[in-house]
Amino acid sequence: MGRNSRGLKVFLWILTIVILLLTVIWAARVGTTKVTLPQLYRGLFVEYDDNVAIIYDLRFPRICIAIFGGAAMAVSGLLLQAVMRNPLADPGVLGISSGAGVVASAILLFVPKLFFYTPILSFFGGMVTFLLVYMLAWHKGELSPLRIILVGIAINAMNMGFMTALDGMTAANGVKPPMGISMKTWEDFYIMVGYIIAGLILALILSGRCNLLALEDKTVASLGLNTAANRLVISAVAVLLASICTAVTGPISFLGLIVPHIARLIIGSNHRELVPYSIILGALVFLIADTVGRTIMPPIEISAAIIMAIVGGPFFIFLLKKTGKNYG
Amino acid sequence: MDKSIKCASANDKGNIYELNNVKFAYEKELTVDIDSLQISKGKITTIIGPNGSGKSTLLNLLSKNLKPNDGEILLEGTDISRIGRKDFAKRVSMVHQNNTAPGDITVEKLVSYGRTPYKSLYSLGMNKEDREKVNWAMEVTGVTGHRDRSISNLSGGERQRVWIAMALAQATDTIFLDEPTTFLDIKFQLEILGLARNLNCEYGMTVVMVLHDINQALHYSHELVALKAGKLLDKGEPFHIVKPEIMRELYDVDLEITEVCGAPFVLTV
Repeated sequence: MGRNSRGLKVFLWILTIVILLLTVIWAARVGTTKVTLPQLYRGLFVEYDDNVAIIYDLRFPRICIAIFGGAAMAVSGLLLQAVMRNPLADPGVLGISSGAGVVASAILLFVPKLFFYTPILSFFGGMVTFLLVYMLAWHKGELSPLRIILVGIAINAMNMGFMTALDGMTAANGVKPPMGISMKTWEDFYIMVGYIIAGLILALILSGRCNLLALEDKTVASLGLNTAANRLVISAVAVLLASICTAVTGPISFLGLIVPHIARLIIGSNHRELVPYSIILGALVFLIADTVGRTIMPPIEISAAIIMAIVGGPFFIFLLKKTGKNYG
Repeated sequence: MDKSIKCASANDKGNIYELNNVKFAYEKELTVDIDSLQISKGKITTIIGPNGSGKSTLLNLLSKNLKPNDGEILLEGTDISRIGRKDFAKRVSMVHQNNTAPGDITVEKLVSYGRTPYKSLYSLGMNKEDREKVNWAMEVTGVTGHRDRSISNLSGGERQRVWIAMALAQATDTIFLDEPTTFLDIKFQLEILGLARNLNCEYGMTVVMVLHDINQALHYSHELVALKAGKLLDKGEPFHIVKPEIMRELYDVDLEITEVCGAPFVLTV
């Protein structure tokens, strides 16, 4: 149903999955500890190997976090774009990620005992930010796409300020605040994975509703749906996904913008296909950004968030110039 | 073109809608203020009146898109505020004035959205009845041949028929059409009006619409509802409404009325 034929779409689906698998292998192998592919396979599945064990503890949590985090951020952006009928919506740009990040930083500083509840508490931070942006952007019964972005950018800047301040205080206490996705352990992965899988399943279930929200509100209402309730539920899932990811990886901008945009070019407008494809593509983009970031000039690591910001900024401007024409 | 105004099958079946003391205001001033109005079942009723007289607002009140501030709107005896959204969408469908959809969506997919009130969140896909209704809706509106085309590749008239098909897939007894002919060439206008008549004649549907053109309204309707400044000026069969004195009161202008093919015709020049 997209612009591309069925066969081409299937091919691009398979291609994306293959590239993702290759990227996983690349990400596992690249770095100071070197292993060959057979060695990696034997070390993982056959017998204990020192080097593979190091990789398993250092690189694999990071790979898994990038995969699930990337999927979460991409789908979050896709859902927000559907709900707001706004191709510029992105959990990073709108301040949702940083809202979640403020809570995560505050927990680390004030109540580190609550570490395990960080994701779910971050969700409240994200939700409060989202509702704030929504209410402030509401103007005379309408929600203009650019107004949302402007309000979001302001709130995001504010949240980022709070986060930096909180992290600064944490550092002054002698604790190094976790920066981005490096130095992550399996524990970090375990606290995020359940929520993200739940969020992605909800997104898949709600994908049909996302399709209907592309129609005029009045038309959706005439089909017997409560548009406001549907919007709120889908938004909540989007905020959940972005917040959980942010709680572990720190705020990442533009991922939720770029991936759905490319996905729409390939898949078309049907969210029943867009959601699953964005999961795969989001995982791929985040993993590439992270792996490039840590290999481009070792031993210095550039965080995935910075890579995404550098690549995403121009992309955002390009989209901004295109918007104004109809969405979809 | 078929000049016969009325459909023989549209005999008296009582009222489908009953309005009592309905008041609605967007801001302070009342946009709609109707003491009493009945809409006949199984007929074509058209709401006419000058711009800003509350025609579309009334239609949106009847279709539950707007809630009256006061009064009651009864659908076959039940206050519509007490009918659930989905149940209501199985009984009343509406084609709105401006419609947008992603350009790459196919006609069949869009028409199948009309089955939404019969679906739950989890029921993927369409059952036999869904497919039958969608096929029927495309057949009646003459868009079956376009089923696999993207709606961005259709003309304005074809697109309007697709939106009507979507409403028909809801399998309701009543359909509302809000200015269905606006922005269409005359050929497509007549197509849409013929379709409205067909829905009433062939399938016994109650059709309620807003039309801008007085002559089209009187030729295609069994009953006219004349609104002025949100109030009911008069209601009745076309020949009863289309009289010089009522036209003057309604539109604030003297219009000459002649006769074409045995029916009144308003000279709007």
